[in-house]
Amino acid sequence: MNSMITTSTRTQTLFTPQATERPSFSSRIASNSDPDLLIREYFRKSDQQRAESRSQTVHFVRDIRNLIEVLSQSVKARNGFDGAVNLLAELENPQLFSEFSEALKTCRMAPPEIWIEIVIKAIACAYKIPTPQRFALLDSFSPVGRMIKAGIIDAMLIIADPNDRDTLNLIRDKVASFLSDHDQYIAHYAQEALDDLP
Amino acid sequence: MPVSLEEFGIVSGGFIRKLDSRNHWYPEMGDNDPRKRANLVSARIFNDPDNTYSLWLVNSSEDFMGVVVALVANATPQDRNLDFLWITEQELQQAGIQLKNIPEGKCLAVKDNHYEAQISQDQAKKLCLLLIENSRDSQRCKKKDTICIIDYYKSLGCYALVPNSQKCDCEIS
Repeated sequence: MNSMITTSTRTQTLFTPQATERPSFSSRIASNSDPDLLIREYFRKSDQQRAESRSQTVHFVRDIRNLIEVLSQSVKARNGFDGAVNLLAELENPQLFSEFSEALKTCRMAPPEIWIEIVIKAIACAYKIPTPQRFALLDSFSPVGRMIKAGIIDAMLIIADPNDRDTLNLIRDKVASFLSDHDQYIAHYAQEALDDLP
Repeated sequence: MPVSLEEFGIVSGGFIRKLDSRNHWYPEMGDNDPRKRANLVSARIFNDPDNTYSLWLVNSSEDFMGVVVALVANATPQDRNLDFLWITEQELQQAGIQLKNIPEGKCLAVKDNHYEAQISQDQAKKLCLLLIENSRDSQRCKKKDTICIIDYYKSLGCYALVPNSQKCDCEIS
């Protein structure tokens, strides 16, 4: 019971500004292993430099707050969307994605839609996580609004693997579920995706 | 040749602007009002904090494939859908946007085709409205085509794709 209360409080505040006092800039500089500092540093780099440092930087995305820091920085940086997707796609552990998805269901205030789009695409591109697990993670998102629905359909196309027939059938069913969407754009988009599936 | 400019309806001399998602060109609230749509789209696809945007000149199908390589070279994974918008030089001029040639990337074939433009929100809105009025669609180079392009450029020894490549065939031709 106690752990449930803790989780609830945590998720409620996840997408709101942090009330706790943050360490000073100098103390941050003093610690070169500060995850937030290293994440910010990553987003200050060029695309090429980001690619070269991703496998190291991703080790500092350890918990949900680090994940939120990645998403916060992504909207302030040049090519931030790709920068965030490519970084998070290096994650090996699905737990952070799962926590994000759970937090969406319980938080008081929804995060920016673009954050959800980034995480959905990152899950799809997370090549170290087995396809069935990526499907399950993507399936856990509530498809609300055109961009999220289209993002999920795109993600299904990314994870579709002709050698994994079982997951492919689940993907086909998932995409087909959008064929009757009230938004004609999404219904057509789903049909196009079904035609493209292997 | 895996893909051609004609398949995408791109005119020679057009510029490619990569999109985070081709769906951003079709915001839900802008379906019935071009001006509202232009405002929503511009806020979505021209939102970099320093207002500096990359554009790639494509004069041929070879250029287009090289640009695809340049745009996926730093991505994880590289074999992916690539969404983009193409824009003519005239459309950029009509929106008052000036380009600066700044070589970028490791692909020798297209590094000199890279341009940067400072685009204000007003210019972005004007450009998007112009493109919407010209019935421009966002486009997608599909994963299967990207894979063909990557395989072809890897076979050439492209520096953008092959780590420690000793020589790219672009240097020979």
